[in-house]
Amino acid sequence: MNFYEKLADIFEEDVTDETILKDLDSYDSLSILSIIAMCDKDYHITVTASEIRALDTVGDLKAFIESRK
Amino acid sequence: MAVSQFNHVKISGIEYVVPNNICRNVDDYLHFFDNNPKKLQRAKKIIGYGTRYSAPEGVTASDICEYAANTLLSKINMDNKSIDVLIFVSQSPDYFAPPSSQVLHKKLQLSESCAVFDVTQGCTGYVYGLWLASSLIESGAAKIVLLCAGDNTYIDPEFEQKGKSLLFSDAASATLLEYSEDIVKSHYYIGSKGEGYESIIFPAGRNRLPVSEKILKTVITDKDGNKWKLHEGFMDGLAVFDFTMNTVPEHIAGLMQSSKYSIDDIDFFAIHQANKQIVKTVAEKAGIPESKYSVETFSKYGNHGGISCLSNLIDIYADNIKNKMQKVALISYGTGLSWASAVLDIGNIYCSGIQLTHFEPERNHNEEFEYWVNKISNYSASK
Repeated sequence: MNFYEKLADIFEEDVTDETILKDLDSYDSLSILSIIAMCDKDYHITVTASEIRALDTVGDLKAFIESRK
Repeated sequence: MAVSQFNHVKISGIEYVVPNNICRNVDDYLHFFDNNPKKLQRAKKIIGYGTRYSAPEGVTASDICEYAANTLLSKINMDNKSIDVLIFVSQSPDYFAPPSSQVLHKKLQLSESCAVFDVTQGCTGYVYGLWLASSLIESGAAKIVLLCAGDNTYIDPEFEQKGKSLLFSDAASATLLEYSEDIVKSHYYIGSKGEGYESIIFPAGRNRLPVSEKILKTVITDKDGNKWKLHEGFMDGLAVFDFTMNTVPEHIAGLMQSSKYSIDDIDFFAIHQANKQIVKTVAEKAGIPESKYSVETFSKYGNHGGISCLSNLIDIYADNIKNKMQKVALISYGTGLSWASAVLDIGNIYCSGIQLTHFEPERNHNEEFEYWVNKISNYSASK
């Protein structure tokens, strides 16, 4: 699965770089938890909940993960 | 860093009891998920919500421990009078004072030469209890120690919270530890991060903020819409998740390094069942293969607080430790924030799996209230 497919799996709907995270129906503590787990398992980076919460869009999340690799 | 190695302490038996008077299933709690079945299914998939059990009103962790201890001692033919020390580990004691260990001392009819004390420890309670018991035995201060550990969560029927009703469940245990002439190895690795003490906390109810009418009446709604009462506990779930993700895998590496064992040497890792996602992520990050740990106990029984790593061991691995010597790691973390883990040589012991048991209270809350009003109003030192 690529990055967008993984996020679609977490949020149970399709996303693009422009998607605003907080506008997603299933953006909640469960999805933040799943993103943290995904970062760890698939990208081998450790991120915190507050770092994820500070991001606006899917594109920001992608750039954030790239910057930490 | 508290790192300890013991060579002459054996575990002779473990009894694990779950009160099954009240059984809750996540499927009956659709209202916690905005009445949206999709949200409920998603939470089940990620968190692993399932079945939860509770004791009836008026039955406490010490009552369940009493039953577990009596069953254990009779099954292994141990005379209650030969216990040197009783340790009661719980976050849900019967009273402010006296310690519940004194109540158990009476109910279990232990010897007057037996030392008893309580340990108020959260999620790491069971490992702390084993560590203390082992220290007493290895130092020669005691030969036989009975460790009673368990928690019960009182759920106010008028104020059900998602966390309390669906994460936590009641259970208690009794473990007998004895001096062994033969070498039996155990290794402990314990640490603390007091900085995070507000992450899992009951802000009111003790001396910092005693219960008052104002406290009882105040319901606080957080930004996510969850409701809290100060005397019923608060948890910053994501802070706890950050802690477990960052600290616990490192802690497991520290346990392995200090004990000089490799993950290959360990037969089973019994990991504190905080929730499915946490256990899975911690285990993967620590490099524990799937065949050596399990997330199933959380769905079947929920989080048992201080004995939630023991619940996993007994649920998944009881048959193995009953019949042969095994090298088992207990991994616990949580309230404090704290972490405590052990590698134990354990085997050929009495252990009958998780016992679902029906309990009858001696007195319900109202009867308890009447009991004390009567007792004190009839008291006189002079008449």
